[in-house]
Amino acid sequence: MLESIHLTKNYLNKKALDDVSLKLEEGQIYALLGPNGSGKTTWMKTAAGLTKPTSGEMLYNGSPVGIESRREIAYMSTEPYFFRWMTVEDVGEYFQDFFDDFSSDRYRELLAEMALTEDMKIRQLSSGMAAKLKIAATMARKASVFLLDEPLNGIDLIARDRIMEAVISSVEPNVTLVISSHLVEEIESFASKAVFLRNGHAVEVCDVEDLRVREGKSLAYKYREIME
Amino acid sequence: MKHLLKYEFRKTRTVKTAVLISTCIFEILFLLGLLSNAAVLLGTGITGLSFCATLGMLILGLVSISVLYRELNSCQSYMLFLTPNSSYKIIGAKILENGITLAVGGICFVALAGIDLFLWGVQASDFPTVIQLLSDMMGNIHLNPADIARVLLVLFSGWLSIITIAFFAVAIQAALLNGRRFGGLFSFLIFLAVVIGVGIVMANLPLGQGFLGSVLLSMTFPVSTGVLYSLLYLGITALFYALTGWIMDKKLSV
Repeated sequence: MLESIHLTKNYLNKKALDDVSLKLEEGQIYALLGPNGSGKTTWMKTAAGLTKPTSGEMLYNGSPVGIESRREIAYMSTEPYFFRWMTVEDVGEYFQDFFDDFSSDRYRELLAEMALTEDMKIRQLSSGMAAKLKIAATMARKASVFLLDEPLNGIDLIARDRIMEAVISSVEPNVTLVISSHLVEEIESFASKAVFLRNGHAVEVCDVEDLRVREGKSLAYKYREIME
Repeated sequence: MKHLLKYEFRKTRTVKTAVLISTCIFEILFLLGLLSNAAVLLGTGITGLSFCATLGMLILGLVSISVLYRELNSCQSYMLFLTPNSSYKIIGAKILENGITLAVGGICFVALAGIDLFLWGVQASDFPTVIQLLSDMMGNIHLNPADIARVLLVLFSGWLSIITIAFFAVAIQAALLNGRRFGGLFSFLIFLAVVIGVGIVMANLPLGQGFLGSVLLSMTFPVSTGVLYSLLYLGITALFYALTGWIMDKKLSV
């Protein structure tokens, strides 16, 4: 499974992650929470193999993340990243070419749910439509780990529930899902675990159900407790 | 690798189409000039075709460098590095695409030049005069298929080495600056420094010459000189391919 060991990432003028050790369990839905600049994206990008750690390790099934782990880890960034010359159909073709676990049928189903058509050009998509396309392309994979970085950014209120249903329904029982979001109340309804990051440190990991039952606290309340 | 190559070709297809269309337009002008004996059309056609052959190849190389720069300095890099491909494969596909484009483009333009010369000769009914005219235009260079092949080989391998050095410069810039301002300028300065460095090293080798010197020397010296220079440039390409792959694999965060 996915594990970071004393992971540190420095940029020129900032320490994005500072000695973060986290071990994710299989089959759980993690809410990765923290204010802007807390290291959520850096942690996810390191897990996806996009960012090289300054020190420490990011392991997948005991081996450092790399080419092989990319076959099983699906990452969806906050920013749009498809080539601008592509159409929606081209994106599906690209994912089909590079990812053995990508299902074109599932992709088309998700496109239909998101009200997107294959002839649409990437450069002409609104930010909301681009966000939906990212979700469709990512969730059409049968990955073992999904890392979704603020998947509901730019999505209108009505579409959010439908999209989260599509995300949860795409995920099989033994799959690990990590979602970072500022919409704490919205992801509380389906997250099983929560990881709190602040200033590049992993502050706490808790079980959402335990938090509710034993401490009588919501995730949003816990978030405020930790961050304030 | 084949999928990476497929998308590398797709990324530059607009520019390639533009070069192809321009070539067709100038070829039509040349043919019209031949048919109508209009020197202006003939001259415009020949000049235009020469520009398409030289500038066209140059522009295609610059566009592929620009594509790599944009990819490594924006989120489009995710499209490359989220796939289960090594950095060596990713940059290898780009170099291979450049090489294939250069080779196919070169062969097509040489073939087109041959056909046009033939047509011109047929129209003039006087091949030797046509060849003499061209020789006079190009000075004392003797047109010999072996010479042409040798020069083209050196040009091909030399240009490919320059493209690869440019890729190396872009990769270093991306690893150090990570999308910050003046990245393009920084890349260009690194590129210049490396090219000058390589030129100095080459000048100190036996028969050492810079890029232009090697092209000229290969025209006048035996075949083996041209082959040696080609191998040298291919070696430079291989070296900077390996260095670029290493930087992208170990040092680049996107």
